[in-house]
Amino acid sequence: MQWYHFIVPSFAVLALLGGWKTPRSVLWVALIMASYVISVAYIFLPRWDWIPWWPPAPGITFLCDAAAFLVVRELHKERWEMLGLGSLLLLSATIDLIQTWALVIGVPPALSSAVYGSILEMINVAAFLLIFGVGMMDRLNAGHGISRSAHRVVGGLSDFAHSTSKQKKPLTKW
Amino acid sequence: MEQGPDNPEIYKLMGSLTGAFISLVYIKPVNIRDAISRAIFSTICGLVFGFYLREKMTWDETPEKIFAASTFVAAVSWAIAGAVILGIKSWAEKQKS
Repeated sequence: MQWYHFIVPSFAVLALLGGWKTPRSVLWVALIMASYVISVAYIFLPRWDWIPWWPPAPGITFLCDAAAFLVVRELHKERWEMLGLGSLLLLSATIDLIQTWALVIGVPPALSSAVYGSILEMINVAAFLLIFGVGMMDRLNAGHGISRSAHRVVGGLSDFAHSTSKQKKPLTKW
Repeated sequence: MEQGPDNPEIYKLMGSLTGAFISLVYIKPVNIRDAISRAIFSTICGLVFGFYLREKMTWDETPEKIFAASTFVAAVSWAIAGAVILGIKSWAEKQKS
């Protein structure tokens, strides 16, 4: 384990502290953290020699991020969840997919592991900051410690973030 | 046919399933039936036509190249099938008028 592996968990704790009362925010934090832990574990865990080929690590990261995106797509209710978290997870999955393709086929040239890892960590941090921000916005909106104009801005943002998502309904119909 | 982990069919199947998953992630299915039928269609396309892409691109018969070819074919098969169906429909309408 390296020091930078603690950046994402630290922001996850921050997101939990800020967005504790926001509906489903704990689920999203757990989901993104599960995706991160599985991806990092795949890199470091030993692999059996009798299997001749193991998929490259970005491929496993893609599967995790895409699965997290599918859960968000099916279970989200508010606009900030799909527009914010969904878009970030889909962006992360797409970068994983391009990197996997680059490692397997060689075209386009693969990013260095440092650059690739940094991009993914930044996306994860952005997702946690979004959850934290929405939670803080709710608290500010509920409280009376801010000026009327600031309250109006925060209220407008909060209304937009919590408005019902216009995305298609989840897959419940046969 | 080789048995065990050296069997290329395993990588073909893994690639096809991955490709079907990619297709479902990027193009949302309308309902559960659509999702199942698309997954089956994409997997079959990846299994059947994966080798064609690999041979066209002159990729070696290594596990990663077999996997990549099947994944790519399975992922794009639904979009190509949709484009072909739309093309046939517009052609049929032109023939009528």
